[in-house]
Amino acid sequence: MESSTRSVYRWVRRERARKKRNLYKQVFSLNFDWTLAFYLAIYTGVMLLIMFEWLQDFIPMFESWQTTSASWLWLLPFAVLIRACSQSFFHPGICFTSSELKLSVLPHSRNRLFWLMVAERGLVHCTVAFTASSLLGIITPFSLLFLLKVAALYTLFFLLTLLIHWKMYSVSRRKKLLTILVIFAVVGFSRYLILLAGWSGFAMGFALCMVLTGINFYLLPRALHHVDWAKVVGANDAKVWNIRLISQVTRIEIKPPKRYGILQTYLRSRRAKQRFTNIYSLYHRLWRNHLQSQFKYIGTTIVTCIVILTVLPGQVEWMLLITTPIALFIYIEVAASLFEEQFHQEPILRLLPIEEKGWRTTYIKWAATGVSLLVITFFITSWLLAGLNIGLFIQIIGLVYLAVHELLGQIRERMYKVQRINYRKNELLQLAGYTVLGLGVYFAPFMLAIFLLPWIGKYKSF
Amino acid sequence: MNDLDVLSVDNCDVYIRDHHILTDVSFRTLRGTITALVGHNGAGKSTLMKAIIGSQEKSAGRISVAGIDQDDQFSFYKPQFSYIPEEPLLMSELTVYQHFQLYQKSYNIPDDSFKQRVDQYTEAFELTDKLDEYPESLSKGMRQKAQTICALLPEVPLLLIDEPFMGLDVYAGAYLERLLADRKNDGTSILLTTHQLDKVRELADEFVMLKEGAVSSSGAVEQFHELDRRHT
Repeated sequence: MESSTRSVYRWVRRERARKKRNLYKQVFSLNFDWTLAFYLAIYTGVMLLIMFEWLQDFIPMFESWQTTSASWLWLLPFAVLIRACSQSFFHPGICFTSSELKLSVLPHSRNRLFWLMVAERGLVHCTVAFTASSLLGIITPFSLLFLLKVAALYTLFFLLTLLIHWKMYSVSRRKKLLTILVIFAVVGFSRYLILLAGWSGFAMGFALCMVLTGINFYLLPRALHHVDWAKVVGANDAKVWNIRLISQVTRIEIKPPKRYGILQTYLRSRRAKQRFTNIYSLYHRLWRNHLQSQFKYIGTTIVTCIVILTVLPGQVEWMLLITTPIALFIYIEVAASLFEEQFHQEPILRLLPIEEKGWRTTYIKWAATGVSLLVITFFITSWLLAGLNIGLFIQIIGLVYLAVHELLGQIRERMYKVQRINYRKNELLQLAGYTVLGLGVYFAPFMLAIFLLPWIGKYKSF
Repeated sequence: MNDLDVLSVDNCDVYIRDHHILTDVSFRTLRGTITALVGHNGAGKSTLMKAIIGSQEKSAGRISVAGIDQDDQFSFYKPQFSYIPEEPLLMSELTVYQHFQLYQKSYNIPDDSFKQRVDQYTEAFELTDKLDEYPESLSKGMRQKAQTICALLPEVPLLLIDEPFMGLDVYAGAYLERLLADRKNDGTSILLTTHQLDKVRELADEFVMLKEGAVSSSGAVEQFHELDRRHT
């Protein structure tokens, strides 16, 4: 029966992979372009050669990085442990899906299935870690031995934290947070031991290894006790099948399970259950939830915008006249996409007639918060580069004006799209707006032209 | 199209990926009638419902409700119907009552009518003590009742119902039957799908039979005898 469980499990995995492969093929056949692929391959090859040549010039720098990294290597086991604990907020680490759960209802042991999956995950991680470190050892000036040492350390602690990750997924958020805090306290104490008591990094790593081994011995016979199976398979099913690209192309909709974080706990409080006296509060609630579910996407966008508004102009000052319109454009496009996404994501909203004004006005308040972050970043960068002057205030007013104007326009367009109303996008006027913004950053009085744009749009169609 | 037509489906084709799911489907439902959409499993009933509500793209044909075309005036088309799906589509962020509020605003239901209907329906469906609960703390039947009330709150020309009695207990089912009859008498056109053939004969005035994605027969319910088999 044991070998039969393995063969059935492998067969299910193979069939799942085959189905996913077919779905990918469909996506690929829709999006693949031979000409583009050919040029991309040549471009990648040339880039790799250039990078290889370029990296040779930095060998001394890499050697110094390697020495610094080596002295901090003792932190890696703690980092792997914190990673496992923090990831346990989102997924259980072992991909036990509803298929495996159904298999366990048949004459196949759940325990056996679980350990097969643990072995598989450990093996895959080990292979990836060593292959990646070998490749990096070949193509970068880091020494192969050093990278293999990192891979070995990572693999060891990954294996030691796998079971902890799995068990922590089913415990309460409070316990998870507490565990992370304890780990941070231990890291701080370890630093103290290294600096003041003269412990070596190796001793710290070894001590942690022993503690984790002890915990693993304790958890081994209890791996399947008190597991929240519904939560586990819900998260894993979503992870295995909810591939955004695939669901869009094949129109297979698998909604990921709702995560109930700290914010949602608040939302589910007694106060949140109160009936709305103003419908806009209901819309705000739904926007807040939607934006929280897209937090990663929003965070990446805002960080990207802030980076291009600060780092590039920090190197070359005049870059600000290019990066400001780009950052604003990226932010507004993402904000508009998120607005539209809400109406596609929630089945009930696809069904209901949309009360346009309420949905738009409530969302704009949320989107404006992000705009204010960009404006503040722009203000600080310009201040540091050119100091405070009247021109900067004109630029700020122009930037805010264009941002609000564009945001309102884009949200209105997305609403037309949701409502399937035909509209004619004035791309030339939009381009003119961003061009004037760039020119205004170069020479502030140009910014005044931004105020003419809505007027031009009203009377002149391009 | 005549004045009594409420829903008008003309030559609709639907493809899902490469599969031709609906082929040249045409039929009409009239004011003050209940039309049953029947067919074997996989005949295309749910796809047709989705095409009518606009969540399934059609590759050809036209659909209109109360003379308003789905493709030309979608934002005016949507307030013309309400829909009770087979599986409740409630949002986990909102309580039952907050769902009613969402429907109130979306269909622009006046406060006094809203309050009166909520009181009436929640009492009849025995949901008064569950109004401030989130969907996941309700049983499947309770969720179905909440979804049914949501769709019954607006007064619209067309009511679409996918398996109306699925998940409802006998009392709720009997109440819904009476309510549908009342709505019909008030002039609402009702299109429902069901596998319960006795209900078709009891409730419906007209039927439309789908077989492998096409209309195989339609007419007065008296002419309805039995379901076409999938392969004959």
